Amino acid sequence: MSTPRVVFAAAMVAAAWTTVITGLVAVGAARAEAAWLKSGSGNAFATALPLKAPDTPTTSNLKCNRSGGTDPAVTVTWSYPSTILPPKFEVLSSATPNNASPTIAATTTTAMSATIPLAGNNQAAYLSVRSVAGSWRLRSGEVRVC
Amino acid sequence: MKNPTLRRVLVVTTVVGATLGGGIAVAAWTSSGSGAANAKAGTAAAPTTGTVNASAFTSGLLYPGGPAGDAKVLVNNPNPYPVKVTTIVANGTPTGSGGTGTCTTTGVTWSSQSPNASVPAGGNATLTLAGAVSMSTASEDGCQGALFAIPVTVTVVSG
Repeated sequence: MSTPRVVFAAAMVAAAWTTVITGLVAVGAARAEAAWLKSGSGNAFATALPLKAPDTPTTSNLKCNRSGGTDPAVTVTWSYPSTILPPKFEVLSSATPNNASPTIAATTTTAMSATIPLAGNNQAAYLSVRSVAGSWRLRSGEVRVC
Repeated sequence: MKNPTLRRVLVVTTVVGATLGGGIAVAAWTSSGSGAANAKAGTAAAPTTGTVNASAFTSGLLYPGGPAGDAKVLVNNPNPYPVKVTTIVANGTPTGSGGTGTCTTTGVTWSSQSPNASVPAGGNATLTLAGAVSMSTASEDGCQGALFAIPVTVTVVSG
């Protein structure tokens, strides 16, 4: 047998081994992908915010008239009956009690106190606080000042 | 090549090497066939889910038009091998209970999830999926504080 033939034969053997190794790698990959898939039906769960109405607010630093060169104002303080706070509080003011469309005098997120201007000189105001979560709103009881 | 002895040795070596290689190759492929038969033993059981109580939620709560909130899924793996949860997709209409009033229109929607979370063999795991659920402004007032059950399909893969 001539040298070229021997070289050719050796190359054929090498090619055969390459084919074997490639095949084994492919088999391994196929095994890796042959993981067992299985699906089942069931339920996931989520909860909605349990919105509460703030407690009826208290007032302090009340100033009902414009004496001394400053406008009427009052500090409104409230508490919330849950540790899970709503996204927003609104302090509401109205010249009449139980007004369905009161003025939003102040807005807070986590603070539960706000100082708001009052409408007029010695004019009565009915104050309340509303918890707001999107379109959900719950209003506290009212307190009258001035 | 002038040396006849060396030539014979080379020829014999080449033939024997090729034969052995072929034999090993056949054996390897036979072994591969056996592996495929194992995979075929598809007695894999489907995952199930359990109930999650409302008290388990302390953040990511939903409200109309608010940001996407948290969902929890208790996945049971009945198989004697660990699995990974690959996908969780919606397959029905969510229902609400335990709210302050009527909650027929929940406004709750599910976003498909790919948690890739592990569940032990024969065990369970509670997955918390942040941002998996949203509530539209269509949600009724009576849904305040409600617990929503959201029908889903859970897909697991061995390993």
